[in-house]
Amino acid sequence: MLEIIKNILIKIGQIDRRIIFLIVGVAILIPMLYPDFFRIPIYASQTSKDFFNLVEELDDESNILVTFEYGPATAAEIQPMVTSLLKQSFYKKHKLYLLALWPDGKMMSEEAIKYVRNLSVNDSLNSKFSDIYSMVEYEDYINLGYKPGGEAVIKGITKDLTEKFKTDINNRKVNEQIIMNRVKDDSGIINISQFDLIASFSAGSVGTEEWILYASDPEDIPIVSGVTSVQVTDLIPYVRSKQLNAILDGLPAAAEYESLVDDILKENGVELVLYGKGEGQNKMIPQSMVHLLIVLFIIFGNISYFLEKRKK
Amino acid sequence: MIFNIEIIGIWIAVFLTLCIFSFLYKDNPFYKSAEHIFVGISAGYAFTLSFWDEIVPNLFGRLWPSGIDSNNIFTTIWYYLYDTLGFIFSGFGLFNRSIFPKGGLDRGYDSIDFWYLIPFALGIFMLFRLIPKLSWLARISIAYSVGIYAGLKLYAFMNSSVLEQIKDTSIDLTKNGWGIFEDIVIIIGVLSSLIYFYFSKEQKGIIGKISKVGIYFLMIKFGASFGFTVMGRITLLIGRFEDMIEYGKSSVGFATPIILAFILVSLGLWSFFYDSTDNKDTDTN
Repeated sequence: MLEIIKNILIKIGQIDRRIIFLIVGVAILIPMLYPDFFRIPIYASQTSKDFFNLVEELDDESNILVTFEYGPATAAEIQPMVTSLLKQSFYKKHKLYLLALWPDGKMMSEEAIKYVRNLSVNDSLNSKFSDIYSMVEYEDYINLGYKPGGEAVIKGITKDLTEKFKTDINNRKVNEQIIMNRVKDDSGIINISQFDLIASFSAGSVGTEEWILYASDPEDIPIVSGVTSVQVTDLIPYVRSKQLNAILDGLPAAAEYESLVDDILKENGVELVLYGKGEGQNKMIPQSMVHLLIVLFIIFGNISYFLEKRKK
Repeated sequence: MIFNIEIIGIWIAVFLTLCIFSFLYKDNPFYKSAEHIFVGISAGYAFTLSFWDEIVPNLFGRLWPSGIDSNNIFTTIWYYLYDTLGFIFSGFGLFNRSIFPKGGLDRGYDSIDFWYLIPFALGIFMLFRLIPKLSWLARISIAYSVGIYAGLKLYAFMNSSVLEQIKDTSIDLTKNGWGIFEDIVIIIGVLSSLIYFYFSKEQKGIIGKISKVGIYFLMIKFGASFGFTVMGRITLLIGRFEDMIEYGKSSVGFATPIILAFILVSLGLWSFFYDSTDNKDTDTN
């Protein structure tokens, strides 16, 4: 009997990789097609709470510079973080200044605004998020668009933002917009020290590290970040040294932060109907399933490896 | 379903995604063609974007801004040169003057900035790499870029990534017991990992033992990085599946199931009739 089990375990170790791919695919597909059968509770970790609290504890109508350094490839991880920040910020009446240092970032910023604007509220009036919270362009937010140059742009806007961003995404002169008056210093120059917070959403370089190096550290401005899982281990030292005030790491953190924001909105009587790319909580179900599967693969793979080695 | 340009785009996106996924079976013509299309489009996209978002507004926009009074001879000559470029780049008047529109470029600048002739010249020098006799000129541009980048990076990196991190690698006695323990672990980790990369002395005796501790710390780091990478990749896969499910609906003409069936049948036929690789060179693990 023991021999049969050993042989089965050895056979499992020799399974064709294509079967494994198929199992992973099915493990993702089924929870995505039938999400109601797989409910998992989401508990916010301390890092997600830190991010949430930092935005929450800012005075109302604070000025937040939101930077987009990612594209559609990593949108599944980062877009839910951005949409949650937008929801929390508009609810807190913060003023948002969006800019992109990646070409795709411009598109992602437009999509994020569009997503939040169209979010439906679960009420009898079938209201939209933007019916309840003010989302007026040039009053509550401005999209400065994309500027190439990476580090040089960050370095430049620490001195004068309008030198780098003359016109916004709609080709309107940035300097002439009402919202920009809030971040002008006494001499009328818009520099980064006028902002209360930098929120960097990045999937690589140029990204969060450059914002810390060239803007946050030299100008002493708080910075929070939402990044892909791959980047986390490189950025954690900055969190420990408090150069980075809070970090959202990958999809689990996106889902946690989203649940915190949705809870606070619900407390204020606004229950949102989430969907698609801007939504993180439902994506955690297939993610957890696959993690479980990979753990099982690793355990069985190792057992099989040792049994085969001993047999030889 | 209204068949419009957006629907065509969705069908192409589904087709290319499934072509890339087909590599999980083995290397095949679908994957190869999608790979080549991706490389070609990426290069074209990057070139177009750099030109329209970088060169046109930042360089041409500063050299030939619109709304400048050509009341002196120099400005008149300068804008005559601009009009000549406009004529040439519009295919000698055959097409619209999209790069150099009449009257100058409206990119938010209200005066000519001649300093930008220097980067203009350096940019042109870069192209001289294509002419062997003048390729030495490109070295000036490269030297300029490397120098600027190194100078920009040096201070910021030394300050934020070296000095601040060294400052944080210390034992803070004001913390509680667990905090102090964490600090001690970090100090041991940093020192032992650094010793592992110290190659001026043979790693024997005490140095060897400390570097072995460093290896364990590094392995933990690599393990964490690998775990996070797997998590990230699975999320990307979920993102693609999300789109595939969305594009499988009737509103877009059941793009996913139709293209999936087409690729599966084609792959089956290709494997049966043409493929002679017999799994050689197809290890994707």
